[in-house]
Amino acid sequence: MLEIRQLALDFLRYRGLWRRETVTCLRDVSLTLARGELHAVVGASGAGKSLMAQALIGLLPGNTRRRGELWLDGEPLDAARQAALRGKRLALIPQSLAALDPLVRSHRQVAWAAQRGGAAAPRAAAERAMAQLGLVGDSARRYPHQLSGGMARRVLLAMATAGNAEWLIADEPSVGLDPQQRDGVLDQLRRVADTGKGVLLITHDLRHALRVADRVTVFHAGTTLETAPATAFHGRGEALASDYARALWRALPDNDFARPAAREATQLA
Amino acid sequence: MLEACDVTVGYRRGESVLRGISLQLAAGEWLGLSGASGSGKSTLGRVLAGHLAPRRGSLRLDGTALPRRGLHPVQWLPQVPELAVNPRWRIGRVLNEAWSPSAAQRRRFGIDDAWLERYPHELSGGELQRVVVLRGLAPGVRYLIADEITSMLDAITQAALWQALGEEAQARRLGVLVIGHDPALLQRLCQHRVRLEQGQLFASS
Repeated sequence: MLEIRQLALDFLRYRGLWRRETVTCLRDVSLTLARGELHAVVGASGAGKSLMAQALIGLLPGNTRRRGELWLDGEPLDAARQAALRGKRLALIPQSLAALDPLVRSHRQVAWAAQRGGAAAPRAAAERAMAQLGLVGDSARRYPHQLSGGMARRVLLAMATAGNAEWLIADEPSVGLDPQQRDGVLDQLRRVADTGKGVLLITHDLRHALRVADRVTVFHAGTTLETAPATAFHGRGEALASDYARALWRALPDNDFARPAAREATQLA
Repeated sequence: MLEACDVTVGYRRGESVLRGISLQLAAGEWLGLSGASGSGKSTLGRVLAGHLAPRRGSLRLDGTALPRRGLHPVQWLPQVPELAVNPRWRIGRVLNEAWSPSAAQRRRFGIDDAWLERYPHELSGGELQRVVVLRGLAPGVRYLIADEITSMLDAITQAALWQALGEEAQARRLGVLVIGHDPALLQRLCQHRVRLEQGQLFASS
């Protein structure tokens, strides 16, 4: 079980040359991720979802101050343990495509990831992971700049799955993909969870996360408002506890496609 | 009326992405354009907005050719706002580059005055997208190409942006080409929808 308990994060930044100010990015973030579970974290961009992911694997920028606790299987997940597990048992699929090494062909990068994860035959593991995502033949051997955005996303996903990590954090893995590719990536994450791994899916795309997720945590302004089973997003959202989660559900184009009225919006904020 | 007649476009010699496409967009009309990734949706959008010259075929606005200089009456709104702004400019300068939106307009698009002093990387994607959309609405603009402008946004931010854009478009009778993957969104926004497949347009139900 991977646990986040009341995580809070502040950024220190300089205003002008001398004055320093702290900006609070995460206020109160708590959630649990079980083995075999696909847990979606949804919310607006800028709400702090990616920072939570970076905090989980211990790759926060230097100017942050962290409070709260991280636990893995009943033991605290501190910086040393994060460093030891990162890339092996704990893997992040980053949102930025800039995470790929521009000078290395993609199949080699995936093989490296497999090696870090302890695969006995990294090349074969890499090939398998890429083939599962439809990256075969010539397209598996390209340099990152020769890949389309969708292919680059799949290479990042292949890197995370080739390493056979037990805990996978996918930060917006389906952004910029067409519907077919998006479903392919989400189905692959579901399969990873079904093999007994814990998958945290960070996304702004509630509609499509619901198809594969077991539970959904709604994130707003640095706070986890509620965790609900995916089935609670139904009808007019009566089963949801928070106003914001209900508004998010109702704002989908095939529901009401409405932004909350100004009065409600201030209550939500 | 914005018209594309028999437009053919390609990037490599001997290969065409769009093959003899004709399309009409009337003032005040919302037209949805979908298609697989790589089918040429953005290429068509960029041709209409004058970013890309067609190999063959012509573009006309109310029967006359589009201007080569000055404000282009067809504006392209991109999917990724980070790539459409100068990272060294403050938001205030970015927003006011072509025209100066009023405080009321800024408020309708949910643009906070405090942002004007910030740099683009200090806004979230959804916040920056609102800045980029409002920037593209200068008074001489009559048609918009909205190229997946909300596919990176959460549902509430998406609905809010389309609502603000819809009000502006209705008041000024702007014609809007909405490029997107989400059938529910296109159905919600557009009276008519077309699909790009193998370089050709097909009516879509």
